[in-house]
Amino acid sequence: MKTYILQRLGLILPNLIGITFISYGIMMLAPGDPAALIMGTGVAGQMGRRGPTKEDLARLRHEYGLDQPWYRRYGSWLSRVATLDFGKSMNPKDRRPVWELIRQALPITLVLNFWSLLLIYLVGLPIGIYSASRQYTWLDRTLTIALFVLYSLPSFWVATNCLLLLCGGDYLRLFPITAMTEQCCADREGFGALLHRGWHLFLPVAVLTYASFAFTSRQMRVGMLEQIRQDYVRTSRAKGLSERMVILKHALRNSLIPVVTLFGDLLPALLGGSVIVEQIFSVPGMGRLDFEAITQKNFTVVMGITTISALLTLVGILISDLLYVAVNPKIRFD
Amino acid sequence: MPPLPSAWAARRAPLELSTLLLAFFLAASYSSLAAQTPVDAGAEATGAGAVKADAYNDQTDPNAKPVNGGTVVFRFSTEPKTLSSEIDSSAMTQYVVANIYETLIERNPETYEFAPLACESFVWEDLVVRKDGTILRGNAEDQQDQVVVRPPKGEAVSVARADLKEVRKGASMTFYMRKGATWHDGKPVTARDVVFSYKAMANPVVGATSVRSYLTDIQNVELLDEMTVRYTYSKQYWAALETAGNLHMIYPEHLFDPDGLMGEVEAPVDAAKDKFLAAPALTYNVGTGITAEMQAEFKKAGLKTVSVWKDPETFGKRFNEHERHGAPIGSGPYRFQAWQRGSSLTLQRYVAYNGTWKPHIDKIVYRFITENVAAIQALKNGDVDFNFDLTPEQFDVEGVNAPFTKDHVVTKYFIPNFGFVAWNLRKVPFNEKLVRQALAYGALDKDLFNKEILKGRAVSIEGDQYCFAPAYDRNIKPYPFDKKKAEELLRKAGWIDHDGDGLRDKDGVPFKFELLSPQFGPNDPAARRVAIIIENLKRLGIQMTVKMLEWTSFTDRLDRMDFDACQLSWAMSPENDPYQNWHSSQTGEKGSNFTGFVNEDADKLIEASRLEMDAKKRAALFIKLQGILHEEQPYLFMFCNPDYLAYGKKLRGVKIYTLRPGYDVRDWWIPKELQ
Repeated sequence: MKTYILQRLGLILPNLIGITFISYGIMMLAPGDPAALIMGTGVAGQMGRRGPTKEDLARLRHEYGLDQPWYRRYGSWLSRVATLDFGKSMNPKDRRPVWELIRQALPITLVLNFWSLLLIYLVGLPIGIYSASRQYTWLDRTLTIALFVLYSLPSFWVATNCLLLLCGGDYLRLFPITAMTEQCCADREGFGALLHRGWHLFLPVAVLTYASFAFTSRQMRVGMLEQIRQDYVRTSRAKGLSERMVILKHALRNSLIPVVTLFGDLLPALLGGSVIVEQIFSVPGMGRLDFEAITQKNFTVVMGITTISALLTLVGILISDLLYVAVNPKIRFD
Repeated sequence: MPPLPSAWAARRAPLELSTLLLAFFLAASYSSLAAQTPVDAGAEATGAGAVKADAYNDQTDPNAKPVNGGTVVFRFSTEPKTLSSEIDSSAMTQYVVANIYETLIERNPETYEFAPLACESFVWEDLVVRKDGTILRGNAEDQQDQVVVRPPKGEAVSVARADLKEVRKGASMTFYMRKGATWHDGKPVTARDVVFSYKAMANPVVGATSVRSYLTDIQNVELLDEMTVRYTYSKQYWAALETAGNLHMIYPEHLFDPDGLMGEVEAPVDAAKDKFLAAPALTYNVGTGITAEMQAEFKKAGLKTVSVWKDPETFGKRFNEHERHGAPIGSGPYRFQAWQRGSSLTLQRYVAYNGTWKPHIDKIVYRFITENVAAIQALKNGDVDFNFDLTPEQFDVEGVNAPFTKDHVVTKYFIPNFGFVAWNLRKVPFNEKLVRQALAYGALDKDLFNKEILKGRAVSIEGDQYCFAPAYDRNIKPYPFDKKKAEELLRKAGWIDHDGDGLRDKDGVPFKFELLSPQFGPNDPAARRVAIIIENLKRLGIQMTVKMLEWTSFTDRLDRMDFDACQLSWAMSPENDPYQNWHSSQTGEKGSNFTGFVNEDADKLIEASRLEMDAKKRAALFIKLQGILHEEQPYLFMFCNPDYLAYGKKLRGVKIYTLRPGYDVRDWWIPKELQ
């Protein structure tokens, strides 16, 4: 087991380098000169406004190392990242370090994703187990239809309607319009503040969550159905165990494998933000940071986020592989 | 590795698609309401002239006197990147920073004239240079064989033509700083700060790229005494006052350059390469980077040393990343209080502010609400007081929403802009004037379009100046929509359907072209406009296709002059220098004259207008130029489009201006009982 873990850990590094190399290559291949892109915005479209001069562009290109060949740039980027330095944002309007930008955007995204993922599993798995154990009953069918309806509703549409109907204006005023709480939270303490924060987060978390119930519950249901038909389930029923015992003790553990596989995505999913939800609920999170960086070809920021997500994905896959052992004693890594 | 759960993948869908669809959905849900027409409380703006306060607010008491206090909350759709309007030239940054920092002078939104802001007064003079190099400043008057210079104080001096080297009208500006003005940390504002700010902006390492190119004609900026600063231009140019006094903010020297890195040192000519002149030398202006050729010239002229900036490199790097751009200390009517990134930005009235135009509101909060639906909800809930960014759909719906209009003013406003379709004059068939005129007759019934689609809210324009400004030609007779006339002109130009395929052709080339456009949504009036133009042109036997491009690719194609026709709109100054757009020297790559318009008469008018210091005479030249443009039709001029705003009626003294940003917080106040 120990050697296996060490082996896997050893593989993470070359994997990570490969991923960053390919990501870097894709960024490089996309058309458009980042320097011109960065400087052009806000200037073009303004009549008679003079754009950046050739000298200005050259200066910026030099400052960001864009005048060097790509392999040298990638090399210097890699050696900097080795010392955990992701460099500074390549936007001349906001030259703060990439770390700082991520640190600023990450907390709110983490909170949103944590609650939404927790809910997805907390609600999705029991529904899956429930419908598997009552396959083809009217309850199973109703749940299936309801979840698929939820799954089909586009999140921007739901979010906008939530805003229109539940956030005041001409209709009900149940929730605030933004996920951020700074303005009104300063004077609250303890449980009150927590509750208040929950009130602010309710709609965004709900919108992030509802569509995924279908996915997790279906995964769970399929896994469960496969197990229920196995001989050992028949045996345990035959020896007189209660149905509850049969399902939750024997079948559940084995049917968790497909779900555990999904855990590999959990860590990077915590980090990734939803551009749509962030846009609608005015959340300054990771989704917008990443999206904006990509449109501006902000190499350092995009690569910073990519590297961290890649690392988390690799670690997540390792964890889910190790979890297999926990849920299935038949699997051994020796 | 399992595939990504589709829900997670969907969350990373591109933003544009979502907003596009969103607009579609919203419009669909609004359509039942939109059957009514909103009461257009819009400002019937007439341009320069006094503006009535509270024109659309029925809750005002005409006898009430303004009182200080209260908070106003603005909605911003995007967040400034940094609080330096030279480094981040976005509109939002400019709106915030204009309250914190000051420029030397500002344009009065009623009269369109420049008035003192950080200075107390200014003198704009002519410069007369004698052959012996001595300089006279004052009002220069041309007489037969001499030029008489009348300084503001003292006796007039006459200079004989024989002694005269050159006269530069309006090339000298002296600003007298406002006495008693202080930075928000209590230190006095002096002329030194002005000189420092000029140097900072002229320093090429500083990221003020959009500003710096305007400063190249400044010969020198001198400190006359603690409270007086003088700008001298090396060329005569009518916009010199604006570029000297209104182009960039004044920054506090004691905070941004405590080590005197932008100070002057004498450097031996031999070692001066790549340094920057701190004082004019020979014919070179202050701020010029010294090249090897210049070194040789200096040596030849017998110069041993030149005055250069001490360490602009280090200064520039520090300035670009200065922490003060996140928490600025300025000299304006409001001081910075807090900035919660991603959420809000708060300013507090600076009690010691001693400018002539003082504000009443105590606190300004900018809330960053990205979504338009959320923004209108915030307004309705009273979380936001002022939203200048209403969508046309919201204007339609909320303008007739009685519960909303009871407590809110909903109106349109204009800031200088105009839309157009530009033809590439280098290409067949747009190289022919007759064809362009035919298109003006036959492409679009502008009046009908404005009436039916734009609900009569836009201003149909025929020239390149701002339609509310004095230099706009109101007497141009627009080309009427006339299919027959268009056909006649096309025939005359030789574009006839020879082969009977339904398309006109000439010399075997069919009349087909592609219209480039930045992206627009399906509900955008631009989408309908394009559809109508395609239909109208089809009836004329012309085939137009549309290609939408993402913004950077679009401008890239324009820069490379690789297009047939394009549609675009300009944001602009209230008085527009036509040089960039129409002068024949600007037709090259990256020039703003991307249509390739070349006209000798126009060139002469533009060159004359650049030297004309009298605003009225200059307006006459601009109007003549608009006549040529109307005849030549390089652009098919479209509309000056309004923007829409809504605000709570608790705000009093609100005036809607025709200059950017369309309002001024310093006008506003809130009655005591509503604060």
